[in-house]
Amino acid sequence: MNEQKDKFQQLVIRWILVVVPTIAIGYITLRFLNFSYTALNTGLGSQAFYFAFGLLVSFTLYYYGARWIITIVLLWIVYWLFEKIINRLPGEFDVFYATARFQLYSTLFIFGWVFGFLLARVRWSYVILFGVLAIVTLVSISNTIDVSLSYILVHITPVVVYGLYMLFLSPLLTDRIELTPKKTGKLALRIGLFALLILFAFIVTESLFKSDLKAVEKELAARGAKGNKDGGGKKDDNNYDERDGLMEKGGGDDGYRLKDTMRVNTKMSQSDKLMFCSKLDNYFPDGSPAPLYFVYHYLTRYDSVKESFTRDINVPSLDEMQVDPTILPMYYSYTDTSIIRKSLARKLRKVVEAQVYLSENTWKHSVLGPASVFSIQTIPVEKDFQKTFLSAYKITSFTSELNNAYFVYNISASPKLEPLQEQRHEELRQVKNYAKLDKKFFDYYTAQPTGGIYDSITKLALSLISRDSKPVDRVIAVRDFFLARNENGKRIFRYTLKAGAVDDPNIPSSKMLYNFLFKTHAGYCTYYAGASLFMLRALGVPTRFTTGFATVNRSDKNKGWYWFYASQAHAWTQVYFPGYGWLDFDMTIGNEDQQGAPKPDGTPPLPPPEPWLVLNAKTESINTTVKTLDASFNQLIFFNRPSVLNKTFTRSIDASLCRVLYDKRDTTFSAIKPGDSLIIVSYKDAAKKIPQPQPGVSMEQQVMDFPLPIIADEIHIRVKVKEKKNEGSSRKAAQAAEKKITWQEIAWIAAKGLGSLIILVLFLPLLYLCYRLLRIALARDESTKADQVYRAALYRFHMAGAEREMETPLDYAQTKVDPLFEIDFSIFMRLYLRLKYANGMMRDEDQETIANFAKSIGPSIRKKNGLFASSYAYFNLFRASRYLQTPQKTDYENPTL
Amino acid sequence: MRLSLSAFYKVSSYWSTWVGVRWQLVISILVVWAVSVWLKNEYGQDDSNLWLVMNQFIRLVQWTIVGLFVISLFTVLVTWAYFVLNVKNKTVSVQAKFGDGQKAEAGLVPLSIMISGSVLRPLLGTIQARILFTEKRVSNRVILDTNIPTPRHWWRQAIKGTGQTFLNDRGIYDTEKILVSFCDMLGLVSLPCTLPFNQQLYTLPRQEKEQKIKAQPNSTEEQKHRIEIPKRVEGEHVNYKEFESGDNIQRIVWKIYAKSGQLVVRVPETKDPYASHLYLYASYFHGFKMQDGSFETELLNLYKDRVRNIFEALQHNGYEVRIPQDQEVPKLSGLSETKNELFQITAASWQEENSPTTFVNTNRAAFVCLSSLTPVSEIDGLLRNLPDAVPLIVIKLSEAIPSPFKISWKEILFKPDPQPSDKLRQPWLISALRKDIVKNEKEISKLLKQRSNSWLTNHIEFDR
Repeated sequence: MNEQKDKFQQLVIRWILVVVPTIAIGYITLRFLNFSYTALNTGLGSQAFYFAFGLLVSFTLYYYGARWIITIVLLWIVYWLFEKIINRLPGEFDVFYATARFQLYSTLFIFGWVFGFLLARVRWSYVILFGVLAIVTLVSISNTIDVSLSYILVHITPVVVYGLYMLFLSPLLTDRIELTPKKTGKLALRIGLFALLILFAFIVTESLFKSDLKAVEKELAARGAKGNKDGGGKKDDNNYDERDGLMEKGGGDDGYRLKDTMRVNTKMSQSDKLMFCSKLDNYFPDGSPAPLYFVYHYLTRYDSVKESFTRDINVPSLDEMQVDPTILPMYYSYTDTSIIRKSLARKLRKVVEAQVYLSENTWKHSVLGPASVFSIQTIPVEKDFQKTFLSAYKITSFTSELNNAYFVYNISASPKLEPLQEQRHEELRQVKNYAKLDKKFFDYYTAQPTGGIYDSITKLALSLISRDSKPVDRVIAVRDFFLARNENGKRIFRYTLKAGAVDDPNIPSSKMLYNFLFKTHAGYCTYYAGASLFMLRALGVPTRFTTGFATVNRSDKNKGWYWFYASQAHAWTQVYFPGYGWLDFDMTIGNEDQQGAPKPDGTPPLPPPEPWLVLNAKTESINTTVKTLDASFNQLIFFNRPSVLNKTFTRSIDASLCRVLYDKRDTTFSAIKPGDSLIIVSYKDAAKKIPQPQPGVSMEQQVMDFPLPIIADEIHIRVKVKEKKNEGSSRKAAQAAEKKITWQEIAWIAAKGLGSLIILVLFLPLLYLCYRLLRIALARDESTKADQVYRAALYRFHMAGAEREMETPLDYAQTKVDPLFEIDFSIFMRLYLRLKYANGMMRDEDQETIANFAKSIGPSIRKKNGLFASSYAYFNLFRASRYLQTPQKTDYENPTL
Repeated sequence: MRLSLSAFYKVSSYWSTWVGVRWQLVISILVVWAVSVWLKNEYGQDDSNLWLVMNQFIRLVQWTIVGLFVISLFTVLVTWAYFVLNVKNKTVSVQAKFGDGQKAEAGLVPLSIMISGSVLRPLLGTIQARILFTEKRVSNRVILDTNIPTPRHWWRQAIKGTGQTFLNDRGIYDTEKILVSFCDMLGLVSLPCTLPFNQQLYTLPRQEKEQKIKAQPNSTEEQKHRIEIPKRVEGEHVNYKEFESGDNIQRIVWKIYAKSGQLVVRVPETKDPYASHLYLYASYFHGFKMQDGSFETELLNLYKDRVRNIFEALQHNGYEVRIPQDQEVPKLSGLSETKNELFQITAASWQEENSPTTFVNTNRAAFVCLSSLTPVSEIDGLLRNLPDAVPLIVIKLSEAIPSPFKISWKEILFKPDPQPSDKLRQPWLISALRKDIVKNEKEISKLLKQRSNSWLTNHIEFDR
């Protein structure tokens, strides 16, 4: 019976030490999984319950040595019950849900069961558990886009700590764990110390790797994995340098990376994120909308070491506008007409306008638009749409008439478009070769590495064409290669998001491309684009890798409005034709995913009203009661024509009906302070008196004729970059100072506390002596006085070096104290014992004896040990602590078992 | 040797105590390696944010773990080296004992080991000790986690630990060495060092339910007996000592206090009365062909248990019980007399020379105990001389090792704790020795039916 009880006690200890931490780590992992996979959406509590239940039951059963037969019987009972319940359910859906739930819960239960079995039976099982948990956690982390160091830290640390804890604990578990308070305390102390040690080791390693970690954090911030919350504040020269460095590494320059959107997601919410929407004024002659691909960046150079396409801003004639829209003030525009020249196109070009409304998910620091954007103007977002769209701009592109989102698809959406494609090809057949092309340009865009895999790609490409075929036919040959069908009439190449064995590289390596071309024949856009780039370059056709968005025309309601979701992120090739410039050629096999919208398109934002006047002004004075202000300005945009005045004007502005914004957010009129830089906008409005532009009259003269006051519709308070910087740096400094102070303070407080504690502890024996002496002084009658003298004497002799062991007090007095200190302790002891046990028959001479003895203690000790040593002895903490211990053995000198 | 996992594990665990590297280290390194290889394959070529962060994190964790390993290994190495040095200089000594040193029963034997001298423990690690017996038997480890303080000094003078080890055989265990292992906090290595320790430790037969068996002594001898009961005696101060705190107040002799004002207490006295003795004759005679195999050992274990229990049941009669020996057993110093009887029981082994007929002194015997290994002819011869009043018990050994077919419901559902006789159950069923014993027992039972006061039994129930 006792044995049973003991075994149960051991089981309970193991529940606490092993099962509970395992349940905790299971709970954490489940929580994490629930976060990563929406499919598990059944309530964390019940999931954890089933896991814990399975774990506890199986651990207990197997701890008691259950045989397999119990498992089988139990599982059969569960199955039988489940079947009974299922048969009773009324509807098909109920059955479905019950089954789905049963599947989930039983999986968790079985996991718990197996864990319990392993923990109870297999000695090293925690290593297996650690491995399983680590892999589960890592796999679910890999499905998350918004990774950051702290995120991983939060999720993997528990697993690592669990592993180390079990590693630490496992040697103890093989033995019987005693439950005496002393041993339990020791175990708790050991575990606590071990935890501290882990923490310490972690902190030390962290500080050793701090620079690396910081670099990673910086890079992450630069990549924008966590979004650019700081806005434009960090756009200083240093960061630009870093970015250039990063450009070498991958496609993106400000955060959102192509691969992140192209990643195979289990989280559906990631790919149906609205990136932006656009109104594109490009139509067929019959008035139907003609969508164009939206370009983000050109990846022109192939880095054969990293096996990746990289962006190269030093490329010959790069027709990509280098401007950050976020730094443009409202309504201000930036035009780079050199783009038109750099596009190297003369024939069949037109100017296309588009408005782009960016959601919070999109990168903001680069221009998005149909090929060859050369002008950009920031525009405001209507108030009602500000929740969806953070910013907007208007762009103007120098676009080829031969470009069209319909043309570039391999599979034509309708037979009507095929003649259009054919027309395009016919037009391009006028280009015979690249003989007249600049050699440097040609070489750059046809460069590709040689050897191995590249050679076989070249060989494949060359086998597709005849020697004297025209460039466009070469392109068509490559397209047809991807469109080819096998003998059964099935397409050889197909589209898949799960390309290859290795999960998601964004831009495939050469080996993956090789596999794609010659083995698997399955891939997504970057595979097609990468492969066709190599093939085309091998055929001597200047080609570049283009990233951006596939445009899909879905709505008949809002003509010219296009909605772009994350799943539409795309990569394709652009081919250069002399005279016609760069033209889109998309070799990717049709993919329904990209054409169907994950959500119905929203309502397009209202176009902003046309302003007749935009002033870049400075506040002179403000009257908040009537909401007017005086503003001085020398720059303005008058009917879309920017001009700089040769003198500064000051005009009164009526802001009574005006919307005030600060940093693109609505604020109140009172936010305007004298000296602020403002952008003051006034719309064309029938109710207003609007002066019309007068050709031939100087701008200054026209300003003189402006009506007074100028009625403002919008006032944007400009965030001064310098100010912001200063503010930032001063805040930083303040923070640093604050931090410093707190650190110092903490250190000081800690040091003081520790110091006073040490001093207190050092003086404790002395304080105790004082206490004992005080008690003598306070004693009321003689017998209590004798008692106090006895106690004080014991303590003082102990501290003087005569430590009492197992002797009786009288023995101690006779054999130790008296010979050592030449004092009459034994006489006092006899008296004391008599007083204590014979109920206080106090004699006259007794009082004297007690008083004499009490007086003689100090001198006799000092005589024996000397003044210094006898007072110094009171700082011997070990000796003092031994006074409080009750001696357990008479003979410590030769310890025996 | 059989090639099986358990055999491999046994051998490896024996040698791993010597090598110092534990499976834990090997497995941990394998797992860490496998996980990092898997991660590198899965994400290594990727230039994603994930890998960027993960790589950094893995490095962090890797170095944390490496740091922990290094600290762990370093401390254990230093303390171990210090210990080895001390062993070489002979500044450490070791002691070990079973139970309290005198009455450890076979089975799960409490084991305590103490190392005196300056010994450092590895940081958060443990020092473990094992006793190495002859024939490569190793005791379970004992974690030396208790400090024994030095008087008037803050540093301990010895470390001690208690544990349990399974020793099934009742008898003497010859120790060769004590293996001290220094184990680091993560249990990765356990560095061994041996200390010479030649001593004989012994286990006693197991005690069962307390019983009383009636027997009358057949001989009378003189005996010294110390009486603890205080008695009213008046006399000189020879029998008194001064009272001190801790003495029983009831013992204070107030008469003396009244006379002299001195507090004195009476000291216990001694007296020499006369008492009689019970002689228990327990024969270890083996009348069959002795093989000295594991069967014999197991039978002997059971027989010793029974003899001990008869011995203790007889003690309840209030007489001193003596067990004459039918063989020479090694003597151990420092055993008290009562303990010596038990030691003699446990130290005995089967013998073929001294048959019960010659061994049992029928005049003195108060109780005779035989095993069913005694041939029926011997018992017959003994019974002729033995007075009818003297009880005779023959322990039925054929059932000492249970049959493998004897399984309860509980055992079907739950695995019982392994018993040392488990391995013998099947062989015993078909062994020739069992056949012989069964045959012998049949005849003995026939013979004993003719006599009252005699039993052939396995489970002793002395209600009669």
